Amino acid sequence: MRTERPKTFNKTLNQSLFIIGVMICWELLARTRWFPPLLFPQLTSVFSSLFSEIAKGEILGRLYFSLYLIAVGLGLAIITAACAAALALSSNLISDWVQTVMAILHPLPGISVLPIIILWLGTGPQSIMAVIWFSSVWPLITNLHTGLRSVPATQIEVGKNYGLKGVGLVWKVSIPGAFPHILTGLRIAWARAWQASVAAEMVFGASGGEGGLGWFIYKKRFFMEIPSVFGGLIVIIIVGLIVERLCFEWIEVRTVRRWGMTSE
Amino acid sequence: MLTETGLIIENLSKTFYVGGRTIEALQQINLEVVAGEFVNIIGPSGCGKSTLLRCIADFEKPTTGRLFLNGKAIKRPGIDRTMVFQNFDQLFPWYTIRKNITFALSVAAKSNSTKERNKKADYYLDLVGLSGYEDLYPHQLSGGMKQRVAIARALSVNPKILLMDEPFGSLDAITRVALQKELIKIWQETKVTIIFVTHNIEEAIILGDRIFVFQSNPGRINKIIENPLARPRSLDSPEFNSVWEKVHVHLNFDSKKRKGGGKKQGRAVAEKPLSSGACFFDI
Amino acid sequence: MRKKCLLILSMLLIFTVFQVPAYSAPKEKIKIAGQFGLVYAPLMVARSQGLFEKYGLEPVWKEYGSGGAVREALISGEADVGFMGIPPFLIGWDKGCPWKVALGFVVVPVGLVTYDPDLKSLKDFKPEDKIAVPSPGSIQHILLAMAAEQELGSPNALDNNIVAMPHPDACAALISKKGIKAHFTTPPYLFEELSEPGFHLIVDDISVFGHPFSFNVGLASQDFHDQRPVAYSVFVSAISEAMAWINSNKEEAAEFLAPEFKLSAEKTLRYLEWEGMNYTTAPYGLMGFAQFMKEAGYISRVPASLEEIAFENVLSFVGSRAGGLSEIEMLQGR
Ligand SMILES: Nc1ncnc2c1ncn2[C@@H]1O[C@H](COP(=O)(O)OP(=O)(O)OP(=O)(O)O)[C@@H](O)[C@H]1O
Ligand SMILES: [Mg+2]
Repeated sequence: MRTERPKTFNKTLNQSLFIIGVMICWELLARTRWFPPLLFPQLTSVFSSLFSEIAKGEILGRLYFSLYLIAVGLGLAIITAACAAALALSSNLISDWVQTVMAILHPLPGISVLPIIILWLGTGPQSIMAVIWFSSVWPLITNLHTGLRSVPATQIEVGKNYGLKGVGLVWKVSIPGAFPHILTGLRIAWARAWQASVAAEMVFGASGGEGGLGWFIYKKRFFMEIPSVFGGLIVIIIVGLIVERLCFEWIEVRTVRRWGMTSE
Repeated sequence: MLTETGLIIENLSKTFYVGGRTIEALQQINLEVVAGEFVNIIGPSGCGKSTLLRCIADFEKPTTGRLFLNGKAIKRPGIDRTMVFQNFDQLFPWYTIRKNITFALSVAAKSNSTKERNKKADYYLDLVGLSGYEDLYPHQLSGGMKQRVAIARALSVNPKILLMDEPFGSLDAITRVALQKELIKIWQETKVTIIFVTHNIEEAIILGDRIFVFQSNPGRINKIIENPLARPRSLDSPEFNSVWEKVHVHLNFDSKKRKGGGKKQGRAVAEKPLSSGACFFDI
Repeated sequence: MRKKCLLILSMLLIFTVFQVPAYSAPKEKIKIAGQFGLVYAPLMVARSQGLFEKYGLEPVWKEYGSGGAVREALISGEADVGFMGIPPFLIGWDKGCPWKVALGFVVVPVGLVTYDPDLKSLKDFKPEDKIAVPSPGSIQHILLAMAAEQELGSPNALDNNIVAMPHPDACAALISKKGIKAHFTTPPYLFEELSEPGFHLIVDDISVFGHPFSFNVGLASQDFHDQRPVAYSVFVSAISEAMAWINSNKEEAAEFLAPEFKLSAEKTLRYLEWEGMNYTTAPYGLMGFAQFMKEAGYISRVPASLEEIAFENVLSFVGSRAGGLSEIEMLQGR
């Protein structure tokens, strides 16, 4: 513990300095006007347009909508993955099927199924949710599956020995035992869902009234409000960082790191 | 039935079917363990020692035969028979040391209050000499400490029988001797019945009242050896050597029956000089 | 493996050593950014007939998926000249892109098509009835906003119905009646959709705008115009020639264009002769779009005069009639 704290502090400081450095380089590069300022705006105009978009309320509304799409898509993916893993645990036959489906569909980028999803589900938010679901369900299943399988047989038997069975055994032993994998799965799934939600709305199929951040960026691009495009990107980055740093790292420190279940 | 209190095993056989092959892990095992007794099981690798313990714990179902504990047939895993495994991963890494024990207590007896459970956990941790480590997580303990926690946990639910499957097998010699001493102390204090599997002749002689010598292919009891040595036992006494010879002969007898390498291995072990303290032979 | 590499290397060496460089003066290049579709037929003609080459210019043809992409190509210098609808041009102009109209580029029918017999006017659209346009800020989007203002009182009335989809995808979706209810589109997709039984127009270009308008304009940057005047006039001349050729040789043009569009020659000819098709460099409706877009908030200012957004050849073409507007001047408004 005592050796860890200065290390994390240094890391944060180091990273912040790096980001500030990149921003300074950006600003200098933009001011040289080597690139058309219309396409490569100064950070000052990026941030001022970001603040005005925040003040107008549009960007936060879009962000809220993106997060809502992800919450539904990712939530459904988690439920699907839990069911699939439960079925796979209950029977070897189904386990083989799940693995086959995983092997076939996992490599497909979520966005590549968008055209088919649009044909099946239309162009509303349900299609974006379906793409999010599709992008995040495979890493979830894979990690849950391997996680549950990696729980030492001894620990399962200890659980049985003290009187646990069925759901109680899964809940009290298998799930915590599989937690490092589950957390990894959630991390990947979140990243994929976030990417998919933005990408899906940018490719096509976003509808005007109910678009998220992807649609925001897409629209701003066509109206040539390039600083706002960068503003949208900054929001995406910040949200990604916040979720990773504040949510996943927070959980990680309190669970798998504390439990010594990481290889780090 | 002769003994009402204790473990009775009648005609226990266990056959595994693996990839078209049948493995007779145990064949026609008949034995009795009296309440409060400390018995050791020793035998070559693969002779079914673990399988026997797992049948008693009901992690495996016997192919034929019946098991009774205190006159009642064994039907499912339960806290009257708690197992201590050889591997260090038997503790739940996501619980603190204390929580590993209170977890067992809460599952076993939901009626207890948290306070009572904590008290009990601390008592058993004290018994195995781990006071002050309650709030650490398993990964912060040494292998020997982990095994002590496992023993404390197994004892905490007041089992009738403690099943120990080479619990000291992965420990260094010094820790091993210390833990043997502690185990005897605990056994004397708690009067729990212990069935202790080991690979190590000296460990078997130091610990048990009786030694069940197993042989393999198929796994069965070769010889039951009474161990009359007075406690505390010493490795240097002449009586020790005579028991050692007896156990060794019955183990050796088995390896002579096997062909080739087994014979040589047996002889090599026999020729090794006996010394005191931390020197052990693995057969 | 090694041997093969050696062989290839030595062959490369031989070729480089023995290749006698045929001396040719490096030709002046002109990078042209277009899109795909019937509207861009003049570009295909100019390309195949070498209309730039005959002036000693080497054209570099670039194709993009949307007006927005053409605009970005022009700004970044990937292209010298390009084509897009008047609205995307005006959005760029409003943001300070240093460019002007060099020529009008084709007048074509544009319209909102649906398969739903219950949708007879914009008033019939319910919130869940999706309307596909190629992108926000495209000419189709702006025309829809104009129609919404006329019929529903607000240019934004249908904003929540809009779905951004490229023409081919939207056309397929509409014909299979999946996902979208209507499509604001242009030839040949307009013609294909209208050829389906029961498909009908809800809104057409003339009813919205009041008179025909240039569907596209040809653009050049001020720098290109000022620093490469010869290339600039070649650009105007070559495109004009291509258009004139199509107009006077419809059958031959159809024959030539059919394989490019993967259509039969008969069908292509039918499309070329569809009522309203007019390959012309005359600009129509430049100021009309600007006024509407300013009022609806899509741009922040309106050009004070045509001079701000068009080069001298366009200005002279439109003219400036003393004592009231001429007909062609009037056609610039709405
Ligand atoms: N789950 C199982 N499936 C198939 N075969 C098994 C299984 N468990 C044990 N066996 C077989 O049963 C036999 C006895 O195994 P067991 O683990 O009881 O031996 P052991 O005496 O404990 O050996 P060791 O001293 O090496 O631990 C071995 O031949 C083993 O291969
Ligand atoms: Mg074993």
